[in-house]
Amino acid sequence: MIYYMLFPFVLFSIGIGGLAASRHFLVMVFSVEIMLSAAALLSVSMLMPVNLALLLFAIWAIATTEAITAIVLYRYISRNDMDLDIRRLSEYKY
Amino acid sequence: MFVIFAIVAILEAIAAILVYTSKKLLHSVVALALFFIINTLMFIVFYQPLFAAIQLFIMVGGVSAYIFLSVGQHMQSPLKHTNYLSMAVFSVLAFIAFFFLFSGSGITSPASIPISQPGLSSDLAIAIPFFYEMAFLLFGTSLAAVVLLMIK
Repeated sequence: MIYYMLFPFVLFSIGIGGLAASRHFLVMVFSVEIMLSAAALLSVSMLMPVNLALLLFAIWAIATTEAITAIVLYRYISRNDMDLDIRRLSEYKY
Repeated sequence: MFVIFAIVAILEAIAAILVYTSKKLLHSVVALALFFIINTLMFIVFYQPLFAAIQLFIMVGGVSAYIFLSVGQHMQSPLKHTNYLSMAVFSVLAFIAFFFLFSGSGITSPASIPISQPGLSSDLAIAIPFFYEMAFLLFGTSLAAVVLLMIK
C-alpha cells in the first residue's frame, strides 16, 4: 500500500529534477505542472477520506493560473524579441 | 488492482520523463498532454471518476495553451537546455529526501492509506460519460489545430 503514496513522490521528484536541470522557460513551466499533478494525485490517493476536495480544487486553480501566467509572460517575451533560455534573461534591460 | 496501478504508474512516469528528453518543444508538450491523460487514468484507478473528468477538463485549457505556445516557439528555440545527468541526480536526491521524511512517520502504515471510496451521487454519475466525451473532443480539437498549423 505504500506504493500509492510513493508514486506521487516519484512524479514530484521528476518535476523537481526537470525544474532544476532545464533552462528553457516553457519546459520549466511544464515541470511545475507535473509537480502540481503529483500533488493532486497524492491528495486523491491518500487524503480523500478526510474530504479534502477543496485542496484538490485549489491545486487545479493554481495549475490553470500558471497556464494563464505563461501566456502573459510569453507575450511579453515574444514582443521584446527575447530568447526563452532563462540564462540569457540577465542580458536584457527592462 | 495493484497490477493496473503499476502499469499506469510506469506509463505516467515514462510520459513525465519524455517531457524533458524530447528533442523538440512540440514533442515535449505532446508528452505533457499524454502525462495528463494518464494522470486522469490514475484518478480512475483510485475510484474517483468525477475528479478525473474535472481534471481532464481543467488540463484541456492548460495543454491547449501550451500547445499553441510550443507551435509558436518550436522553430525559434530548439530544446538544448536540459542537462539530463543533473536532472537524474536532482530527481533521485529529491525522492530520497521525501522517502526519508515519511518513512519514519505513521502516515506510511497500511491502515492509514485507505483507497478512496467512490463518493459520487447517482445524479452526477449519469453525466460522467458526457463529461469525458466533451473533454476528449476538446483534446482532439487542440491536436487537430496543431496539425493544421504544422501543415501551413
